[in-house]
This record gives sequence, structure tokens and C-alpha cells, in this order.
Amino acid sequence: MLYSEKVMDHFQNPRNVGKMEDADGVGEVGNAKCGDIMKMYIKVKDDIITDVKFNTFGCGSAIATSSMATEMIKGKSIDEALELSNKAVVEALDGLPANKIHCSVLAEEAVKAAIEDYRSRQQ
Amino acid sequence: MATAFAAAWETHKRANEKIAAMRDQLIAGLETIPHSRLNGDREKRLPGIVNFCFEGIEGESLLLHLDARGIAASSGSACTSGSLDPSHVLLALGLPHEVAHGSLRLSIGEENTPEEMDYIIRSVTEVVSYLRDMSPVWEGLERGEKPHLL
Repeated sequence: MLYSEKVMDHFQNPRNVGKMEDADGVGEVGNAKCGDIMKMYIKVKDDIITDVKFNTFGCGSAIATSSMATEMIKGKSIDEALELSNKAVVEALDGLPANKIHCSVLAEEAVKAAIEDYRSRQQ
Repeated sequence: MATAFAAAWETHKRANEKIAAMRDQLIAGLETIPHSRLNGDREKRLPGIVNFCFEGIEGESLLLHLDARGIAASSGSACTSGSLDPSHVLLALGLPHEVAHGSLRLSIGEENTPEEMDYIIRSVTEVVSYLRDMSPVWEGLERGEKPHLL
């Protein structure tokens, strides 16, 4: 089997799928040429990420890593969320095939992009 | 020898007619999915192959969901090829990258049935809709941020 059970679970039952009309931060990364695009929305209160949603165009790994990344930052502080590494996402999913690791990198970038957007709005 | 060949040819022709009928049923059903496209000529094609592109979604996700529903298909998407490029054939046909990533290839054989074609049409319709609901690319298209290409 190409994908671990955890990856298949997050692919078939992705957590936090959706859009947010009133998000405090929105990050969109990737490009259609590569075949992966992730959009992440966060709601922040007192520096804590109270809610997070994602929309993803991409393969099984792209959807699974987005789903796992949102679970990993939900309820965390902004600073903690910024520490999320793609390696941690891959480990949490019990591994990814070598040619899919870039999906986890994109998930990490989506989190950072959403937080950067949130921070820029605070100025 | 000639008699044997003629008989074999007759059997082959009849099988192809049966397969082509199911193929046409499949094409007619999949064509009702909005913003989709049959790749290749509608008439001048092999009796048992159907190749479609669905705008706004990615091929491997479509494949995995269909597999979970008991439908074995293939895709020309990058992810299934192990490289970052989608099908070079679809690109050569002039399809842009984004669209080529959302391709589905089905092959039909004599053992398949018209009921199975209906099941495939229903399943593909449901999965495409589900994936579009979670696709930022589809959202952009529907909002008019980018023009629909299909």
C-alpha cells in the first residue's frame, strides 16, 4: 500500500474542511502547474488559534497533510503554530512516500502564510 | 484457416460493438458533469477507452475515492506518474497544466455491464462534486477570479 493507514484516514475523512467568511488570517500556497494548492483560514483570539479550516486542490497526500496540519495547530498559540515543521506533519501521518514529501512542506507553508496574513492585518 | 479467421473476426466485431455501446453510455453520462471534457475524438477512438478531464480537481484524489467505491481507473495526473508533470499526451493536445491534472482514464471490457456504467457515472459525479467543494481552484473559477477553461 502506497499510503499509511493514517494518511488514508485523513484523506477519506479530512478534518476541518471548509471556508471561513470572517477569518482573521488566510494563506494560500502552491500552484496549479505542480498540481497542489492549499488555502488555510484561521480564527485567532488572545493569540490562540481557536478555529482553522482548509480547502485543497491536490492528491491524497496534499489533502492528508492539510488535514493533519490543521489538527496540529488548532488550539495552539500563534508562536507554537509557527514551529510546526513538515517533518512533524509527516511523522504524525506515519510517513509519506518520498515523492510526496513536498506536500507536507506545502502544508507547513500554508500555516505560515495564514499566520503572516493575520499578523499583517494587526498592523 | 480463412474460415477460422472470419469466425474470430465476427466474434471480435460483436464484442467491440458491445463494448463501444457501454463506452458511449459512459461518455454520455460523464459529459453531463459541468466543466468537463472528453479527450480525443468522439467517434474515432478505441471501443473501450474513455479519457476525461474535470476542471478544478486533481486526478489522484479522484482515483483514490473511486477505488474506495470499487472502481479501478487510471489517471494521467502528475502524482500517479511519479513526476511533477501531468500526462504529456494531454499537454500535447493543448490542455493547460491545471486541466491536465484533473484527468481520468477508464477502460471497459466485455465483462463489464451497462449497470456498472451507471454506477461509474453516479460515483464519478458524486466524487467530482465532493472534491470541487473543497478545492480553492474550483472556488476561484466559480467566483470568476479566473475563466473556466472547460
